[in-house]
Amino acid sequence: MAASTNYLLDTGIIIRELRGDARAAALLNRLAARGVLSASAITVFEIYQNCRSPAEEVAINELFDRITPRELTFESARLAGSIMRSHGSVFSSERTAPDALIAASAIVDGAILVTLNVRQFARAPVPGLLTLVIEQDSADWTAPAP
Amino acid sequence: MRSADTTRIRIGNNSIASNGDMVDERSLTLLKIERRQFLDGSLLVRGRVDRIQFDDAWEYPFSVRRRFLREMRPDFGNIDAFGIWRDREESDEDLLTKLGAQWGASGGFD
Repeated sequence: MAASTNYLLDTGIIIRELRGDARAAALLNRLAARGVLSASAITVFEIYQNCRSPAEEVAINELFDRITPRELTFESARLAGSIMRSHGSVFSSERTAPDALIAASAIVDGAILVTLNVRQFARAPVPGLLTLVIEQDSADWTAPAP
Repeated sequence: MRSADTTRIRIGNNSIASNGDMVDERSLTLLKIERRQFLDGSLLVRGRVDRIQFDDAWEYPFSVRRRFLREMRPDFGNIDAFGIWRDREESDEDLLTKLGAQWGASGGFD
C-alpha cells in the first residue's frame, strides 16, 4: 500500500478552524480525504495554552483526535537551529523559533507544510521543505490543494 | 515481542498478552481477526493507545480508522471545536501574534 500524503498543519490553519472559518474547514476536509493531517507539538502547545475553559479543552481534544500530533524530536530541533542560522533574514528573532521548529518537523516527517504564513515560508524557500501556502484572502482555500 | 500464537492483548496497567509477554500500554498489535472489530469500534481497549500495528506498520489509531472507513472521516465544519474561538475579540493576526509572542516573552530565565 502506498504511503499517504502527510499534511502538517501550521498553527494559523488550526486557529482559523477554531475561529469558525468555513474555508479552513473545507481545506481540512479536502486534505483529510487525500492524506493524513498532522500538527507539530509546537502547534499543540500554542493552542492549548490559549484555551479559556475546560469545555474548550474538551472540544480541542476532539479536534486533535482527528489531527495526528507529531512529536518534537532531537532531529527536528537540530534542523530548526540550522534553518534559523542559514535563513537569518527570515527567521530573525526568537519569535520565529516556533515557525522554524514546525518547518523542521515537516522536513523530518516528509510532510507538506500547510500554512498561511507567506512571510516565512514563501519568501525564502527552505531546502527540503514542501509547502502548501494558502492565500488567506482567497475565497476558496481548497483550490490549490495538490 | 509477541509470539504468533498470541490470541488476545489487553491494554492498561500491568497488561499482558496471553503468551505472557508484557505489553507496552501505549501500543497495540492487532491480529487479523481483531482488525474488523477495531475498525467498527467493538474491540474495547483499556487505557490510551498511541500507536497501532496494522499490516506491519505502526500508525496512529485514528489514521487507521480513517484510511479504512471513509464514513469515519470527520467534517471539520461540524465538530465542537469549529468556531469555538469565534467570540474572541482579537483579530486573526493579533491572535497569531499573541501566540507567537509567548515564545519571545521574557520569563526571567537566563
